Amino acid sequence: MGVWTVGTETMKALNEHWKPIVVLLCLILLALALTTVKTRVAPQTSLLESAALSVVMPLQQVITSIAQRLSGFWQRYINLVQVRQENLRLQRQVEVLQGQLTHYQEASLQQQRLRELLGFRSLTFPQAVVAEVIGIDPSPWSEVVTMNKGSRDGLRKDIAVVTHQGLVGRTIEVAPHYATVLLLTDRRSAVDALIQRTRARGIVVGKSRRLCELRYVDLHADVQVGDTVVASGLGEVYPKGLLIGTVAAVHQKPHGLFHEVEVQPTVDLAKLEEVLVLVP
Amino acid sequence: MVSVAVAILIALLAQTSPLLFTVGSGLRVDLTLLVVVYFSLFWSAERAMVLGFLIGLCHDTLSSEVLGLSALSKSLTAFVVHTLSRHVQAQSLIAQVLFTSLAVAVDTLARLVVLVVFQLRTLALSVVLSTFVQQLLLSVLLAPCVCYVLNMAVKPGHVRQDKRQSHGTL
Repeated sequence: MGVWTVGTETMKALNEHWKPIVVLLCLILLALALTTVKTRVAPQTSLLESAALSVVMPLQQVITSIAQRLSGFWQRYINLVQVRQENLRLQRQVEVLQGQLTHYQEASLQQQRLRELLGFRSLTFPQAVVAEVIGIDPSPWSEVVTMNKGSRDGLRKDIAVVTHQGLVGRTIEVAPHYATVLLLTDRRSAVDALIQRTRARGIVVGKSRRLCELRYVDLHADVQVGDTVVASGLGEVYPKGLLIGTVAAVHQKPHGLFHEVEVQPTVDLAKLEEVLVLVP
Repeated sequence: MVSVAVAILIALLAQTSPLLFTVGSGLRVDLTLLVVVYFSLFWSAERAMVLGFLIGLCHDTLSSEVLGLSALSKSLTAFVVHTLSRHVQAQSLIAQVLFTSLAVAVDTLARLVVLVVFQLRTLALSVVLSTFVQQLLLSVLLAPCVCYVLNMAVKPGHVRQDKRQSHGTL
């Protein structure tokens, strides 16, 4: 009887010992199964993700809206130091830009006419949807933002997102009311690009939170710090000529085949508020 | 249970808020991981792991990364933290900070293993190190605050069995 009791207690202790490990293994297997399902079976936004976005993002939108109003109140009514000087400077700048705009409008119209004459595809976009950034990716390993427009507004996967300063990224997941945008600085982002001055070709990939890298630029190509980098238009996601950034540094390896070029995006991706989605 | 759900929702909202992004792009911390650490210190192993899995799943659904990645890393983190904190006084501030550091390391390692082994995706060492160090510092700084707030808001009802016999060493 005593042996039996000891045996049962030993079994119980063993069960208690192994139970957490068994639970852990089950959870790991379940997580891996989910990973496989997401990668192979349903790469688009799933019902689960859409539901989570629909729960969290409306709350996020309310919080962001309140914070923006408070910030706006502070900036518009309280923090008015040097507003007069800035106003004068901006007025002068507007006058200069007005003159430039007229010149560029003329050039653009002329180019449009010439393209039509030559039978090329038009460079204008039929629709640009304005969206607000309402959330960021919870993972510190990703550079992704969520905006408040989705498939109901005509958005779909893989369309370019820009601001007036240049390229921001592309849409990667689209829910009915929300869409997520992969920023240029994310390690998964890749944009076929050109150095505007010399037409040297390369691929802009995300490097860190503030920098991108222009890869596969021929060692004999002329690349200098300060050169402008624009989208080449290959791949049909990013329209040709969209401003990406400027060359921040050029490193030459003694035995390499390519330049190592660092690119500073022209858009301050840490301060995104409104963006334009270029629906083709 | 409602207070646990509210704590998770608040952590997710804070983590996905663009306001933090505008204050400083480096100010990004995995608050849900801190919640997992807290409950792993006070709850039973199974409950902590299941909670870690569910929090990770919520994290994944809001993230652009693969579904299941955070679920895996957070349940593993819950297991490691729970197992190693058996003979430690969980209320100790030093213990909470140390286990937070450990959790950041386990979470990062699990994530990297999944990315490299199962998705054949490599990350630059500089990116890994900078993200890890920044995560570690911010998590360690925030851990006492998060644990204090959770202590006030959520009373750990199901205290782990092994704590009843153990004597604190830290």
